[in-house]
Formats: sequence, structure tokens, C-alpha cells
Amino acid sequence: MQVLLLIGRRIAATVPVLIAVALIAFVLLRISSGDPVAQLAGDNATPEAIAAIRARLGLDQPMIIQFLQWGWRVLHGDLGTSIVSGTPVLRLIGQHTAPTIAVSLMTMLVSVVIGVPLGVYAAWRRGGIVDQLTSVMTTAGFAVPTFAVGYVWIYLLSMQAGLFPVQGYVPLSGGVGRFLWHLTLPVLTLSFVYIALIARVSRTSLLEVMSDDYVRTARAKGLPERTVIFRHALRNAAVPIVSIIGIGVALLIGGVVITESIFNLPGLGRLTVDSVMARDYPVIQAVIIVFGGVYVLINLLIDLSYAAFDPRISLS
Amino acid sequence: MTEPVLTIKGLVVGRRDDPSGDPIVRGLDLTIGAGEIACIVGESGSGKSVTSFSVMGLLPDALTPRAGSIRLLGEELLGTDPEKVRKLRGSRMAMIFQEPMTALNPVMTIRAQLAEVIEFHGETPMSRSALDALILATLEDMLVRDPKRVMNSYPHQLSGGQRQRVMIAMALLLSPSLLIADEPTTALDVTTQKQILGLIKSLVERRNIGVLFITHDFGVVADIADQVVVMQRGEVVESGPAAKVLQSPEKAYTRLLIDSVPKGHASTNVPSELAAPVLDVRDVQMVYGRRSLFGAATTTHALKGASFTLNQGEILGVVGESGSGKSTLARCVARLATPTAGQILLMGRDISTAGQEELRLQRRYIQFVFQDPYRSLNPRLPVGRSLIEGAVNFGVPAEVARDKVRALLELVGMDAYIFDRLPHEFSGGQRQRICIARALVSEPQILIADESVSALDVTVQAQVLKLFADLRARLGLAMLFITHDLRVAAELCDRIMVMRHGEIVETGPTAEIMQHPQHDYTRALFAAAPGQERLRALATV
Amino acid sequence: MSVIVAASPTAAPKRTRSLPRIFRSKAVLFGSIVLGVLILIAIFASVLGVVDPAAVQPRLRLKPPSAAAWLGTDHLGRDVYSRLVYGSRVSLLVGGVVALLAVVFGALLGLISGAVRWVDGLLMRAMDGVMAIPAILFAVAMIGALGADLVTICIAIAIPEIPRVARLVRSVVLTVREEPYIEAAVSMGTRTPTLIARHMLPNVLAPLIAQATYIASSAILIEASLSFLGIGMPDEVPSWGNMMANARLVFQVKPLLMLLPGLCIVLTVFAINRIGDGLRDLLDPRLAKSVGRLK
Repeated sequence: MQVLLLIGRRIAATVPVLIAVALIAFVLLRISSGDPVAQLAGDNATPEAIAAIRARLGLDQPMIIQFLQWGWRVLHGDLGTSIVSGTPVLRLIGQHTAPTIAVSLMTMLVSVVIGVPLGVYAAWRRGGIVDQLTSVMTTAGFAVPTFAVGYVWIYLLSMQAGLFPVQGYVPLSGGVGRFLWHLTLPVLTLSFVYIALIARVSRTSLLEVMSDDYVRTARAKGLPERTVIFRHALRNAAVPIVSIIGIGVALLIGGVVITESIFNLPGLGRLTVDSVMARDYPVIQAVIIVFGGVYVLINLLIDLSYAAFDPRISLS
Repeated sequence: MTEPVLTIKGLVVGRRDDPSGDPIVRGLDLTIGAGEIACIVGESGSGKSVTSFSVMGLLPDALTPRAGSIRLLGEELLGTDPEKVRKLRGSRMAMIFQEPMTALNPVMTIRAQLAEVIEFHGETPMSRSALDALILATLEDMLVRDPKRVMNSYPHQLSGGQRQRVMIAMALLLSPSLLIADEPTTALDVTTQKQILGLIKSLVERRNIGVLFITHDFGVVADIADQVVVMQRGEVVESGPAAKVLQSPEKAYTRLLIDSVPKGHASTNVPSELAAPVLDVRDVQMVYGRRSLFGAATTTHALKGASFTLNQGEILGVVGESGSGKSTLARCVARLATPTAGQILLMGRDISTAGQEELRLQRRYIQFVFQDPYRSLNPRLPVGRSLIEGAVNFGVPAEVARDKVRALLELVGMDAYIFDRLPHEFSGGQRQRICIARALVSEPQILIADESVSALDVTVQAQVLKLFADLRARLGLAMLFITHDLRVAAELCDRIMVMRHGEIVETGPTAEIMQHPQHDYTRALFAAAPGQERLRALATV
Repeated sequence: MSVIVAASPTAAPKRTRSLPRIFRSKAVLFGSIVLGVLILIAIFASVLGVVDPAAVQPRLRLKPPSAAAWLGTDHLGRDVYSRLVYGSRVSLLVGGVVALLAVVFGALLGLISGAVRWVDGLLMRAMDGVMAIPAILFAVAMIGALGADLVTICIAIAIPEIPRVARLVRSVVLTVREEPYIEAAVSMGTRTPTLIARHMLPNVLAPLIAQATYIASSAILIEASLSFLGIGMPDEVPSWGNMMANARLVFQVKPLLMLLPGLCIVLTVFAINRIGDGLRDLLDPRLAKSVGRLK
């Protein structure tokens, strides 16, 4: 019961953040240079007709009322309709989520599976060959733009070696093999910077706890070095590693936008770019809210998971 | 003739990257038999901890043994396969540390941390119930209260004393022959320290183990040691049976260390009864509250109503253990914190609720010397600029302030040419002198010293205490001297105020408090001070 | 084991005054030299560039390197070398302006948040809200709404960086505020403005500069990404991102057109990151954790 109450409090704490996200999405639309009413009304509309449309859309109300009205609709799942295609935005987003989720989840999986062990090993054998290679790799990971990584892979693995398709997406229903085959290059591209991030944070957090007193105690107990590292050090380094994965979600989503554009994947990233080109504001707004919401949700889960890693962190 | 537990011969330890440089430990000899406690005594930088880590094979990578031999039960440890030494750690030799707060893994239960000693050293796998029984029995043997609860707790749920008992239980689980204790009681309150020292002593007798005990405190040595090694800058100054070293030390440095231990001789200075009170504290309270959105407010009464007066030229000692509220009281009086209730009359003017600017002007009369000399000077500011800051703030022209500071530096025993140096260029004792000079710049009436000597080595501590006494005599300062160490307070202060759990337990002239303590707690504090009877008896011979 | 290697400065060591301390770090020295050269190139681009970088010559499309066009021409016959040289201007300008904007506004908000308690909660929730929106997405949306010019691009990239700076400054202020030397200064009667300027700001400055370098390099990458997505600077403006975006069309035949501007970006970002890493290593390692490079 106590725990449920505390979890409830954590969830409640995300509400102001979500409101802030919605406000930003709303304001971004309002400051746009084009007048949506003029666009809707067409070139020959009379001032009276424009005023009528304005009133119908509630645009003659004060800003704060407009925001509340819009927010009320968003709460009820009404994200408006696309100016370009006339489709409800929610349906449009639904159609584009699968490739984005596939790329993101696989990237996260690959990055954690590679990044954490790499960082741990680099810290364990500090100054060794793996450590130096990791250091070079992370430095490169932060300096090379994601789209350049994508084209390097395309050039090497697709054009030269002919191993993977240059572009395109096959849904899971088209066969697991083909699905994964098409996802390989996007995932390799996107995980480049993410592995670097996770490996670097894993290494520094582990090195930091390695000088803690309880690690010395563990050695004084005569435990083998690998037990000292995995049982004592790594569990204490877990919180910063897990939290970087959460913060990195923003980085990941940003990368998805670019990756989908390189490999022509029909995901939310492509939808965003296409909507910006077409000035389809309701869609842009909705994508911001969806991505912001996902970020907040993942970080909430990560927050709650700390208690599992560290008994000192209660959910309060 | 039985084999000694530990034999160290000609041990030399130096830096790995500088093979020809000065060693950290040079030529240490020591033999510890079963049932014997050997103390290595020294100040910071003496090489005493390095010695203990050499025995355990846990030297940091930067250091390496260069010569000598370390034998555990006749078996050579230096130059042996590290894997073999690892197997001896925890089974044949074990170690406990200074900070029981951080020496236990915060994310594992006590049971798990004890169980893994068996897991990696036990000869045959143990059933869970047998393992639990052994852990419970060992915890009980260490006089851990409620061992069943402790076993399933995490370290943060235990008190400092409990944690150190758990550490000792972990060390002795497999009945090793050698226990190395590196300042195991330094971080504990005196009453807890006494209990832990008693425990170690009784374990040595009951289990017939050898103990290598590292300490800086000759008081502790007097209480527990069978033999003593005195070290200074890596060199053995003197060694021998404890009774002999304590009674007739051969070297001046040993004598200095023994003399530097405050013996609690009551200060003979009797302040004039007629002196005017400069500070009148009336029923000051401090409540820390935390209100959350849904939960009820949680409050902590750090100070439950303290009243006292401080007269001109008087040194009032405030003594208490951690959590007694003594530091909160000091911070309230100096208005570094705002008390929840009560009055603080500084020369008749209430500053307990003074506004920012009024308070700023009053601050010159009441100055503070902090505990940690390494953190109380701005690391980026040359000390000269830190020093004149106070005077300049109160309208003294910079040139005049500079001359004044030079004079003050001389007064506290520092050279005046240090003006442009940065704080990191000075030792702890030097920094504390600079901090004292800084506090004196604004010509205060009252100096508050909050544990100002407790971070210093004993010999330096003795010097700074003498400086405080001098300053009082020369400048007629009133002082509020906050300390956890009753011995230190007794040596310096005219009156002593004992605090516990946010309350003043007892106040009185030092001699009276010492000879006829009224309160049980005061008596307990006196009894807990290590080495009292023995050292005092020696001193009067 | 506090006693061990700490070489205690007991005697009276001399205070050394030589090269500024930061340049003793090899990483900082290397990064500064490379960045210095790049800045010089950007300033003197009009001298170093051989021809007008925007001059379209349909007859000279996709030519290999020659005496006239040192690195060849692009799909519109524009001189690649000149475009690379001029392209440094956009990248460095965006990096510098974004870092400056983010640091100034972030530091201001962080100081206020750390100093004024009742603003803290509100401001930090707002910062959380901004942080929840991925930087590229925010920039894309804002540029989509306002159009792509240099000012909008800089602001659109700077806003998502502000929360991180604000949080960093706030946490340093909150930590430093507890330091005894601050309390010592307070009890010495130091006025609040002096307290902030003399005792707090210098401590915030070091991690802030390190953070600024990371913001600059991240901004350069984001600006290039925006161009690559086709919503960055107009195509006539020579920028490395634009060059790469254009090279997409002919990537299969002329990979070099993609590679050259790509290498320029990598070199610039790498140099700036080296400065940041070097600075971070010089700082208190405990601080390094919060300064860490999170985009």
C-alpha cells in the first residue's frame, strides 16, 4: 500500500513536466510565421469569412483559453487532423510507429549488450588494449555525425560488400529474416553513438566505485577479482549506468529522425520531417507530444527501478 | 616455542614508478605472537597504514615492497603468488577499517556479505541453515544486539558501532590467526570506541589471535597494546613492550606524542566572576522540518532549548557526541543557521532574528573557526586575499588591513610573506592557523571553534590548543569551544557544558565537572576516554 | 588509506607561473591548435577560397580535381574546395553562438534556481519539459514554424541545451553553497554580490566552460543534421551539412563529395571535444560526472 502510494506520487510528479511539453508544442505552433486560417480560407476569402473561420476554430479566444481547450482535446485523444492528408493525426501516428519502435528497441538492446560489457572490461583492465580501443571508439562516436556513419555503412556493407539492402523497410509480417536484414544497417548506424555513450559512462562509474571502501573490504575478504567487480562494484555503479540509458532516450529519438531519413524507413522520424516540409503543424505538434511522453514514461520507469538496485533509495 | 603469528623483517615499501626515490616505509621489524596486540603509532604520513596493507597484499598499484620479509605463521607472503595470498585473506588473516560507514557494501545485506567469506574460503559447502547458524553465532559473539534483525539488514540501517561489530564478525568468521585493525575506532564516538576496544581485547584473550592495531592515539595504545612501534615519516622511531615505551620513552618524538595526548588536566585559569557577559543565549531551539506533498511533515529536534551565557575572556567548552546538537548550537549562535525559537543576545543585542544587513554588521564581533582546514579556505583565492576580506568588508582600507593581517599572522605563528600563496601549499595545521588569523582580523569579541582541532595530528593539535589559550590571554577573547573530546575540552576550557540529544545535560567549572560529575552521561564520557588512568598515572610519576 | 601518496605541501614551495595550467593538458593543447587554425580559415575564407562558392557552372558538373577546381566540382558545378573553406564559417558560427546563448541563459536560470528557493521547483519542472523533447526534434519543429535562417537555427539548437546548463550550474551552486569557505566568507561579513562574484562564480566557471565546448560540438553536429534533412540553411549558403545533403544524390558515383565535408565536421567536433575532455579531466573528478557529455 505504502509502495503504491509512493509510485502514485512519482507518477503525479510527471504531470507538470507533461504540461510543460504540451505548452512547448502549443507555443511552437502559435509562433509559426504562416497563418493557418488564411491557408484554410484560401486566397479569395473575405475578411468576414476569415473571422468566421477564426471563431469556429476558437482562435479569437485568449491564448490561455485556446491552450486549455486544445489540451482538453489532447487529453481525450483528439490530436486533430493532418492539414495535408486530412487523416486524423492519431491514426497517422499509429501507422508510423512500428518501424520506429523496431529500430529504437533493437538499438537500445544492441547498445546495452555491447556498451556495458565494453565499459566494464575497459575499467577492469584500465590502460589495456581494450580500454584504449574503447576510448578511441567513444571519442569517434561523439565526433562523427549519425548520417555520416550511415553512409559509411552503406558504402562499405551495402555498395562494396553487398551484404545488406541500401534502403527500405519490411514489416515483421514480411518474415523475421527479411525484417532483421533490413534493420541491420539502421541499427548499426544508430547504435554507434549510443554504444559510445553507454560504454563511457559504464567505465567511469565503475572506476569511481572501484576506489570505494567496500571494494577494498571485498578484496580484504579474499574474494577473487571478478567477484569483487561483478558482485560488489557493478551493482553500486548500476544507478548512473541505468540513468544514462534513460537520458540517452532523447539522443536515441533524435537519431531515429535522421536514421529513418537515411534508410527511408516509414517511421515517426520520416513523418516528422515530411510534416515540417509540408508545414503540417498538427502532426508536428502531436509527434512532439508523443516523443516527449515516451521520454517521460521511460525515465519514470527508470526512476522506479532505482529502488531495485539500491536499498537506500526509497521511492519517496 | 610456538610459531609467531606475524613476523615482519626489514620491510621497505616504495613507489613503483620511482625505484630510487625515498621509500614510504623503510626497514620495519615486528613480531606478533598469538594472543598479543601490537600497535603501530604514528601521525599522517608515517607509513603505518602502508605497513598494514603490505601485510594484506592490498597495496595500491602505485606502491610496491622493495625489500624485507613478511611471514604469516611462518609462511612468506612477499613475492608469493598473489592468488595464494588472496586465499589467505579472510581465512588466515583479516582486516577491519576506519570508516564502518563506507567499508560495508551498501547494496548487500549483512548476511550476504558475511556468507560470501564462507563461500570463497569454506572447505566444504555449507547448508543454508548451518551457514545462518554460524553467522548468528559469530554476530552474537561480537555482542551485536538483535543479531537476527542485523543479519537481514542493509548497512545503512545500522549504527556506526553496530557496523564496526559486523565488520569484526566478518573478519573473524573463519577464525583467522591475525587481525589487522586500521584505526578502527577513530570515526566512532568515545563511548562506542570504548566498547569496541573492550571487544577486541576480549577476543584476543578468548580466541588467542594476534592483532596488528594501527592508531594515532597514544591513549588507545595505553589501553590495549602489548607492544608498540612508533613510526615517523616511514621510519621506526622506537619500538618495544608497551609498558616500557609508555613509561620511559627513549626518543623525544615518542615523548612528544605521549605528551600531546590531552590528559584532561583541569585548566587552572579561573575567570573573574565580575566579567561582563558578551553572549547570552536564551532557550534557543532548532527544528528541521520537511513537508512533502502527500506525506505528513517529518521534524527533527536538533536543539531542544539551550540557554547559557559566555563571559568576556572566558573559554566555554561544549562537549558531546555525534547528534548531540553541539554543532547546531554553534551555527545558530554564529547565525550561520537561523534558530527556530529563542534569543541570542550579542552584547545585549538580540541577533536571533536580525535582518541581513543588521546581521552583517554584527558579524565582526562573532567569528568562526571551522573543523576542516582543507575546505574552509577558498582554494582559488591567495590566502592574503581571504585574510583581508573581513577587515575590508567592515570598512578598513586594504593597505591598513594588510598590515594588520601581517601582525596577526605573526601572532598565530606564521610568516607574513605567505600572502600570495594558495591554500593547497600549506599543511592542515598551517591552514588552521591561517583560518584563526582570518577570524581575528575583524577584532571579534567572541571566537567560536567548531571541532577546530579534531582533523589535526596530535602534535599539531597540541600546538593549536596552546595557540587558543595564548590568544585568550593576550586579546581577552571569549571562546565557545565545540568538541567531541572531553579531554581536549578539559585542558583548555574554564567551564564545560555537556550536551546530549539536543539538550544541555550539565554545565559547570571544569574542575568541578571533572571531579564531581553530576550526570551519569558525563561520567560515562570520562570513563570512555581512552588511556586516561594509565597515562595520567604515568605523567604524575 | 588517506595517509599514503598525498605529497603534503608542508614546507614553502614556490608558486609557479608559467604556461596557463590548462594548456599543460595535451588534449587541450591539441584541440586548441586545430580549432585555432579552423577559426583562421573561417575568418580569411575570402582570401583562401579560390572562386565564388555559390557560382553555378552547369557545364562543369561533377568534375574531378584539377588546377582550376582543386577538389573538383559538385552536381551544380560549384567549386568543392571553396565551398569547404566557406563552410567552416557556418559550422563555427553556429557552434560558437549556440554555446554562448545556452551558457548565458542556462547559467542565469541555474543561478536563480540555486539561489531563490520558490522559483526552483517551477523552473526545474519547465527545464524537465524542455529536456523531454529531443534536441533535433525541437530544432526541426521550430525551424519548420519560423523558417530557416541563421538566427532561428541558432536559437532552435540553443534552447534544448539550456536545461542541461541550468541544472549543472544549479547543482554546482547548491554544492558550493555548503562549502565551509563560503560560510567563512559569510561570517566575515561579505555581501551577497561579492560572495557570488568572488567565491561562487569561479567554481562554476570551470565546469561551465567544459560544458560549453560540448554544446558547441553538439550544435555543429545538429546544424549539419538539419541541413542533411533538408531543413537547414538555404542551399546557396555553403555549409558542410548542405554539401553532404547534396552529395546524397550522387553518393553512388562520387562518395568523395560526401567524405570531404564529413571529415571537416569530424575534425572540428573532435578538436572541440578534446578541449572539453581535457578541461573535464583537469576539474574535480567528482564534478566530471555531472559535466558528462549528454546530448
